[in-house]
Amino acid sequence: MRNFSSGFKNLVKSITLFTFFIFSLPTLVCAQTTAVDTSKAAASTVATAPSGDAAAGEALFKANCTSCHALNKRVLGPALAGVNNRHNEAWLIKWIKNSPAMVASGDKEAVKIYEEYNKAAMTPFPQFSDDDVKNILAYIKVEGDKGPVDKTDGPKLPPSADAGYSNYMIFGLIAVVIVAFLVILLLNKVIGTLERLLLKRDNAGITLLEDEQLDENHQPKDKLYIARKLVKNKKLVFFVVLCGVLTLGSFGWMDLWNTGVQTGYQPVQPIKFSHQLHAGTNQIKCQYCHSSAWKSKHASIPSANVCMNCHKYVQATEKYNGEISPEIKKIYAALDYNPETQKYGENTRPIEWIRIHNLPDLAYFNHSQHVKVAGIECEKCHGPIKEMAEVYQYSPLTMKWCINCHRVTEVNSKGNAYYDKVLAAHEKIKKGEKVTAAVLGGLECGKCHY
Amino acid sequence: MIESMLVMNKKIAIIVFVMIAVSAIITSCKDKRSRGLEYAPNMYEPIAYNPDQKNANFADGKTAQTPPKGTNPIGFARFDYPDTREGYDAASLAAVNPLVRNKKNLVEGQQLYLAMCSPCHGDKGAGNGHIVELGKYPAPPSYANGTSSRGGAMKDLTDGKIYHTIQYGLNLMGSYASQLSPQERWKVVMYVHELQTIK
Repeated sequence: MRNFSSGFKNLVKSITLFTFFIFSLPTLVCAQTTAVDTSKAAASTVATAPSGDAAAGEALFKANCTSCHALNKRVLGPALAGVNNRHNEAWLIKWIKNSPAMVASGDKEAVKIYEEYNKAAMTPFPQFSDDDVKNILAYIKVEGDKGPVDKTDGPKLPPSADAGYSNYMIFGLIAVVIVAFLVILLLNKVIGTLERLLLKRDNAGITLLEDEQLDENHQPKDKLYIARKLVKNKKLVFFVVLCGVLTLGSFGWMDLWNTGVQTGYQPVQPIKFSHQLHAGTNQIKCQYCHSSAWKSKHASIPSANVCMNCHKYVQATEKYNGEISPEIKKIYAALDYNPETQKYGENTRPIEWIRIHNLPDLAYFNHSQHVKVAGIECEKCHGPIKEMAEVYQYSPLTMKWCINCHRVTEVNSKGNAYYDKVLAAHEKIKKGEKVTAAVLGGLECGKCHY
Repeated sequence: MIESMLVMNKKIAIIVFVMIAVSAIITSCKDKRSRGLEYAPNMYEPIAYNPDQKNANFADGKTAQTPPKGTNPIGFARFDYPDTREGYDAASLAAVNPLVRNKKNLVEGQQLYLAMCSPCHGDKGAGNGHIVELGKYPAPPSYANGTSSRGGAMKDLTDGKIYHTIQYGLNLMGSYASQLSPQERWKVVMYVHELQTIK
């Protein structure tokens, strides 16, 4: 007869090891990602003293130049770092004061730049004195020589959401391990009792067992024997079947109620657009992108030109070692936009976002009625959207959910002509006057001739 | 003894396998990537096309089509000034806000301004919006004190100039024609005039 208790000890050991492994896995992964991130050494060399006043130049630069220029990046005009080496000072002063005139006069360098930057003329600055321009150039020299500055402070945080394993999986595994542990504990007790019972039986019917023990392998025979005994126990079989039916039945019942309810649905989108960053950190209003929520049935997904309002300039290069963010590149690819030449091509193709909120056509829902007329906040239905790195369906969108809100929401009829007739009719009733069908719109053509 | 150990190891392997299988099944029941159980899903797949849906009836495969060239949507006022310096100057001279300056229009203009413009231009138009303060975007000039890159003080910008800039964009500012209807643009113009007077 095998000793189940010692076997159980082995089992406990292995399970503890397994749980330990599960718990250590995420920390291991996290530790690896942090180890990879090492802060960059910022190389900064101080430039030689330029002729102008860099501090005065900085103010002028920020007030007049940054809408088209950056030091280390092409914006609308060229990157200005190193411009002092590309052209001489006299030429630059002339250019900044009146570049269109230089292009018109046929200056070779001027025409070349004009052609290279899509024939967009630089705004002339005749109000600048020579000293102003020299100050700006001094600022460009001092700042430009410093090289691209790493904007991120310290080591980057490990990306938590994109680590590849979900919280569900981890918690699920832990729960399973705990449940399995409890079940094994329980079974061990049952087995102990059964063993004692069997031993008693064996002593009584040794002759019966002897035949079976003649086979070469003892232990499997024993196991089968126990199993056979268990199956013969009708109460136990009934109990197991009952448990099975109850569990499956309750799961089935719950699933029936959740048919077609997609709360928590979070499909993988073609671009990893983060509402947490855009609506949360940057505090851009929902309607900036979903502008038709104010005036249409649909809140609508913005077209890519709305992305380009900012992402023509914002390329998140500081997070990707000077490269344009791969997600922003997807916008460029969809528009066939070339960030080098800043020109749009012909070969465009739509970004195929995946719809999260699927209200069937049997129900009519109008965004503008709720957002504009009722003045309901987007978060009331869409949940903590400002904290969602990846959007999921927050509300169940069931009829019960709609109706429960409609039961308690008070109508704001103030300044809304739609309710004028209804209110007037109620006033009449209050005064005890007759309310005819005509008062309620019974004379409108469409009532009969629809 | 060794034999029994081997049997134990096998057992452990089976148990671990079962646990992983069960956990996989349990987590798959709550798969956030799936739309879950659906009964009669054809209710969810409308016959009519949704605006963001694929559409084989058009050459480019999109349902949302831009209006044909040269057509005007109903109630749509044209703004016939080209996206050039000449167009800008012509608009400045000729284009006048058709809306009456009243509280209702100003409130709506403010609402639109706060959603569309304030991220960069700031709530009071001083060029210090939240994005600018975060250092993510260069500052636009202040409406009250700044100078326009096309010359002149920002506080002197006319109806036509502001409308022209909203419609076509300028420098780092994109066109807002797809987010704001002509009526809405004029409301924003009306509100920007208010901001020009803030000292």
